[in-house]
Amino acid sequence: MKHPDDVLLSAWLEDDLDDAAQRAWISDHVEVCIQCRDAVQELTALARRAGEEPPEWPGKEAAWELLRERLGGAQPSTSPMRGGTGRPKYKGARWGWRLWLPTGAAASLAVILAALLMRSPASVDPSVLALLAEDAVVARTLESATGSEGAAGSQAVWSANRMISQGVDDLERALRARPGDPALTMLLRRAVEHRAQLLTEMPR
Amino acid sequence: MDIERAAARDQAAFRRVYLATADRTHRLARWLLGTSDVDDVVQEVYVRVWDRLPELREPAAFGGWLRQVAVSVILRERERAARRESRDGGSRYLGGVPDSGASQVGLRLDLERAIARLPAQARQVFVLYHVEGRPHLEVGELLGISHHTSRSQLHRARALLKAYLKDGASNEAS
Repeated sequence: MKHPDDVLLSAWLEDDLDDAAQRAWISDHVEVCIQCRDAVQELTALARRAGEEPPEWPGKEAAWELLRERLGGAQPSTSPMRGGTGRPKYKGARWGWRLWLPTGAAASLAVILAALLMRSPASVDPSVLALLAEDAVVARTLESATGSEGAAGSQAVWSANRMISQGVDDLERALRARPGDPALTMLLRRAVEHRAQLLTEMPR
Repeated sequence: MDIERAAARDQAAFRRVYLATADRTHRLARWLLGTSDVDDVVQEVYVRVWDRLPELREPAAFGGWLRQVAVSVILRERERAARRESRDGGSRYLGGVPDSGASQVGLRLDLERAIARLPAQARQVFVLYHVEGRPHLEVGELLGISHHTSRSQLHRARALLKAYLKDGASNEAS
């Protein structure tokens, strides 16, 4: 008797097989084949076991001591959207903040970039330009996510998040070359805030 | 209550939050990265969490939010490590889970080791799909692959895991 292999069985389990005849063959086969039924059960059990509670991480107490040292100097990010209560003021719709991001952020970044270029064109890191370009992409992505819920909205936000993360990387590199540069610092802060907003507002 | 206190910059409360969630975050990093320096990445996750916690609107949603932040930080580290690897020509990736991370023997350790043996992409897809519960579209987006590839890698991972676990069981028996 011919048996489907485990990859095929896994695809059948997830209803990922496009071929209707193949699906029907496996369904019929699993009905009568004890060996394949066992294999299906093992594959199903894998997912269940992966989701079980993790073992204890023995180093977590020691790691806390290191973490505490870093937290000592850490300050909460100073979002322009946040009030004195420690909570954001933007209590509107889940995607309400997308309205300020495309316009306000892109405009202010453009002003900062123009100032940088006027001050010292040679010293401007191309990564800043990259961030500005990416910010525009982010804005477009968020625009396209308007009204999107579930996977589509989530996908758009993750895409934007990844682009902003790249911008943060670029800016961190630029700041290492020019430590303390106020314009770069401001850009970095904005990028980090954008990313924090994305993560906070991520559709769940 | 601890979430709100931690958001108000109470380090003792944040310590309790950290201790309650660190096992899971560490496993996520271990499984997604398979590197020798997972502890550093976990620390980075909690630095970000501390920094952004005041922005969390709903403390009840902390668990999901923490995992979003963790996945974001861990995958960013994965990209950085991949860039370093291609630049330096070397690899810090061990392709395996450190034994110290798995404190219990038996089936759980078998699964840890089996997951550690998986090829990187198959392992990441398996973890994001089954442990993090992300749909294939999102897994593909996170890893920079198509959702079709995500599906095929998931089935490959499951088939390999089944085979590895069978190998382990037969080795122990012999």
